[in-house]
Amino acid sequence: MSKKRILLVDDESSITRLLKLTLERTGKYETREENFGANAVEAAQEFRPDLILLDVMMPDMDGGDVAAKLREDPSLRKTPVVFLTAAVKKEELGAPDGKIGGRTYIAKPLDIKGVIAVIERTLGT
Amino acid sequence: MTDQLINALLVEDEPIAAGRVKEVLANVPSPRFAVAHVTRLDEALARLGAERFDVILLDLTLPDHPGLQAYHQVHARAPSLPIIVLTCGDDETPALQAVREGAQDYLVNGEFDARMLSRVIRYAIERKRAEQALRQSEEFFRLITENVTDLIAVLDKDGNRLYNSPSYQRSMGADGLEGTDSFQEIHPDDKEKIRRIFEQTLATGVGQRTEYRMLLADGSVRHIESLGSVVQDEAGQPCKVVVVSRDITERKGQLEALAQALTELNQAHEQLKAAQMQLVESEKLEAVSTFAGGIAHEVKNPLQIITLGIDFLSSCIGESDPNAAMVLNDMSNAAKRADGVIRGLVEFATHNKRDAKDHDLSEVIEQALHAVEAELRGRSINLVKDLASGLPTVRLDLKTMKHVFINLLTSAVTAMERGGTLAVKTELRQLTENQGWSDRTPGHLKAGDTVVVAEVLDNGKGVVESKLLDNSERRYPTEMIRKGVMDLIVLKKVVELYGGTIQIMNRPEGGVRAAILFKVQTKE
Repeated sequence: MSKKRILLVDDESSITRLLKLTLERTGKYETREENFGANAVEAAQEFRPDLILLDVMMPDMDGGDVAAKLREDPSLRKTPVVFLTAAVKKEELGAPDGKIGGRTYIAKPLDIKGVIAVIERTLGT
Repeated sequence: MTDQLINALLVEDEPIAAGRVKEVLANVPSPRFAVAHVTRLDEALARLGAERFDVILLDLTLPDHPGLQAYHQVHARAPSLPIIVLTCGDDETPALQAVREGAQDYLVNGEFDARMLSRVIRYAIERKRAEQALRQSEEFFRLITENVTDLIAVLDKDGNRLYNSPSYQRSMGADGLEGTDSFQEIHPDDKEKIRRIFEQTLATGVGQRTEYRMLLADGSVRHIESLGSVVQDEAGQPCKVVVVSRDITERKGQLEALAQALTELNQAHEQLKAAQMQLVESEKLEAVSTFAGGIAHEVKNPLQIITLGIDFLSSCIGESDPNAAMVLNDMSNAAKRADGVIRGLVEFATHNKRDAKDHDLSEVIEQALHAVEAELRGRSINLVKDLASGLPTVRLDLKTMKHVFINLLTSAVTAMERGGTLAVKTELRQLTENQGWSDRTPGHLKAGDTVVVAEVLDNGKGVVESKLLDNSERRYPTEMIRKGVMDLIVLKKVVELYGGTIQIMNRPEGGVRAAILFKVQTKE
């Protein structure tokens, strides 16, 4: 079974680094870090990920805008995006890995088991 | 009077008698007399209507109108003129009768000389003038006493009424008061005081202004203000008291209304001040919650790094170092705990509009129960409600406090996985020294305080001692975090923001008792 490619987009390099380390340790994933929202589309075009973990609040470009740009590229349109958010909305409180408005969210902080569960559910693996 | 001309009307049918009068008057050097002589009564009446006279000399033996008849008619025509009656010496009775009825004097024909006649006439004019003046003066005072709204009474030394102005009738409906005891209508509670003042007034001759109540026949009470003045007799002894009174019931009512209005104004002012304080408080709350929300989000990323870092280190170390694994587990729990607090803070902060109003705690709980109804229905939980009605209100934000109770209820329900009994209770209670909740009496509540208490009791798993709020460890059941309920510490702070106290303890029979107490504000 080939490794799934996950693109990690978060302005916090510690977060992308830890995600990379822990996900790759499982042996199931190959990852690439990107700490600038504005570079995310380019990185995705190069890396061709199976899934993108995308931080919502980034200083240079908002996660929502990044997602919109990804959608503009027909080759990336179908790539699933999972948002990472520090925003705590009422709906998320009971479900830290829930869906809002048809999009999948991970509410920070979520442990790696939780993150992997969301990734697997989204990829259908 | 020397240069005065006195116009006299002489009514006399006897020519001799008339001639004599005219002759006598002509001989008076001063004052001079102008005499108009008529022989018949109708003639006299006609001239009285047409001319001005100073005096009338009237014969009482006119053939057409004998005796007093003539006097009556002349007096009726000229009531302000002095009349001197002339009579013959045979019978003076009608003349005396005329004097009794208002004639100034009488003279017997042939028995007077110039000096006497002149003097009688002049005296008659003067007396009549004085009488007129007195009558006018009496009329004047009568007009005053009968038209003032003040109550004027004249009392004898024993307090019996000699006179009462008509205003008594108008304002009190009292009639036929003369001769009655003026103390009888005075309110029994005031009677002794007024009698004392009346006696002092008589003894000293100096009146006192005083207020008292009158109890009227119809049962109504009037407030009266009176001032008495002593009238002395010829010997200088007090014989009467004139009392001038005023009905001040309306004024008193107005004063009371004014005092009432003033009290209400003060109350409104106090309420306004309290509302302002409340506003300041809620603005503070607003600022605190915005601040808390902002901080909470900032803490999320570091927490994510710590969580992932612990996961990574755990996977590196594996089972090889049990101590390291234990430490990492503790760290993981600590991170979760921190996250619980943050979630609670954010939840608290997201209630954007806080609006402190007076609420009945029982109603707040009813609403909270309604919100967890579905949750209850899913489990075999027996709900026992004992909510007091008519509790004193508590000033709080409904949404926030409802949320606090939803949290307590959810926590209780969660703890009773295999079902049980959930009891909710509100009551008014006076704190005694030992409440049995906790060894520590919360700072602002003391024995004797009246409090509104809301309790949520479950018979679930309970909380380990170290997780109780009163313990300095300040931990909480981890189930709560998993369910995403507000952290207990945050609950405690929220309740305290509204001046309440939250107490959580294990019940001896198993389960947890969570109680929220609000001190009842006594309104002065």
